[in-house]
Amino acid sequence: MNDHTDHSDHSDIADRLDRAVAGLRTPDVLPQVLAVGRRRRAQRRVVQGVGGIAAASVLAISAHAFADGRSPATPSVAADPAAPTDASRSAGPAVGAASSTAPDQCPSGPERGWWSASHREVADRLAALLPDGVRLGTEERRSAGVAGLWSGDVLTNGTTDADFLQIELLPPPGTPAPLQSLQVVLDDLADPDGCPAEPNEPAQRIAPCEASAEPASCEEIRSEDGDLVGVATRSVQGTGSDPRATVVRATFAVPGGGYVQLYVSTGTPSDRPDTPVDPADTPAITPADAAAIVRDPVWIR
Amino acid sequence: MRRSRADGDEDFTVFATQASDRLYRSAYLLTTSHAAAEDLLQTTLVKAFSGWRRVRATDDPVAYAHRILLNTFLSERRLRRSGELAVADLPEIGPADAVSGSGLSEEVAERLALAEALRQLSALDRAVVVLRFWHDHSVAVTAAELDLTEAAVKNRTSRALSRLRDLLADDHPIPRSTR
Repeated sequence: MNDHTDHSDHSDIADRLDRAVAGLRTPDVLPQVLAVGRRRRAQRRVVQGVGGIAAASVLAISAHAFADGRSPATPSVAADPAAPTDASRSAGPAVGAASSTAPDQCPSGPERGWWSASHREVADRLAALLPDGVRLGTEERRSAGVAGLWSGDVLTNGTTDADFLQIELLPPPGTPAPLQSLQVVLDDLADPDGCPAEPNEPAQRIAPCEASAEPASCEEIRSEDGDLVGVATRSVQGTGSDPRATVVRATFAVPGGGYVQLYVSTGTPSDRPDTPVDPADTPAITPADAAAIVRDPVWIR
Repeated sequence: MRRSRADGDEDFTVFATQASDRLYRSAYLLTTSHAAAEDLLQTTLVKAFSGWRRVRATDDPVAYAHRILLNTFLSERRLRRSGELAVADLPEIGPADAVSGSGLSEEVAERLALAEALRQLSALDRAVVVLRFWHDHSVAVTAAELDLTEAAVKNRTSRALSRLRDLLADDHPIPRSTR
């Protein structure tokens, strides 16, 4: 009898699966993961802070219904990130865990400031600061509506080339990032971390260019007093024989705390992972452009 | 000594950088679409980041992240199946697939053929195939991961393999190797 469950008989299938994905190039989703993840953690603390599960249920029901476009239903709540997120498999223990968290342990809500500019404001300001001939394109679904954040494509007029761009307004250390709009996700409402202060560290540390050997290009941003307050770099991800994308990053330390950070990559969701990387391709935003964008006072008004 | 959240974020960044390739490939085999795989990878990593202390404390954070990915995939499939929208999954060809005048590269053509075949399986059958033959999990482990009985895993495996062989018989047949 041919037992199809015998693994040793099906190495051909395993080989086929291996070959099918061997050449896949993994998209760089880390900037978005960190930005969205920070907001999600902040949201979790806020939900805990406003009085436990009753408020959480109201928030979850309304947001869930809004996001899905259907009638409010029982919210799914699970403390375990690996737990299924559908209501049928999410159990109640996390509700108890959330309820047991003392509400006054956590901040009662995000402090507002320049970093909590609305999503629309961020997009409008960014569009006005782009170099001539460059405009915003399709927005990433996951950042839509999120305060202090915009991510999506940037297009160069007269070409079909698009780059990926993300700008993020990072609050001062200890301040929760703005809420994630109505994309409320309460999978892990019960925060096993408690309420430690959010460091809001930028993805790129501000250091003198001479201290950084990796970037192909680096510009320092200095205050009128000559202090180092930011840096803009261009580098190639991957190795020399396997370049993944050219990336421009800019980070500016806002006086009084917090950062404006910009990430631009030659790879977009629509042309990866199958599109061969052209090492000569560079983002439409240069490090000088990026430095000018992040240090513009429009972000902190 | 209590580690700061900034330390945790750095740990997470290292973890995500190292684990992303395998997570993405698993996501592609499950979703059979680049866009859906990227979405699934991102959702998985956001969940892992949100609960990083818990993830980091496990014996195998990568395996834990795979469990997040698998459960997210199956949960989303269930929600879509029970929702109002019936959106067909269309074969996906990236821009590079059509750049050559001579057509698709062998590698891409083979990938598309397999993706199309996998797409014909139910989400759960696809998950069984991926866990058994790409992750190389045993029947027992696969059953535990998917909350199925071992008999159900065997039945689904048999059915899915038979279907895959039929689908792939004409177009890019599965070569018989001796791995």
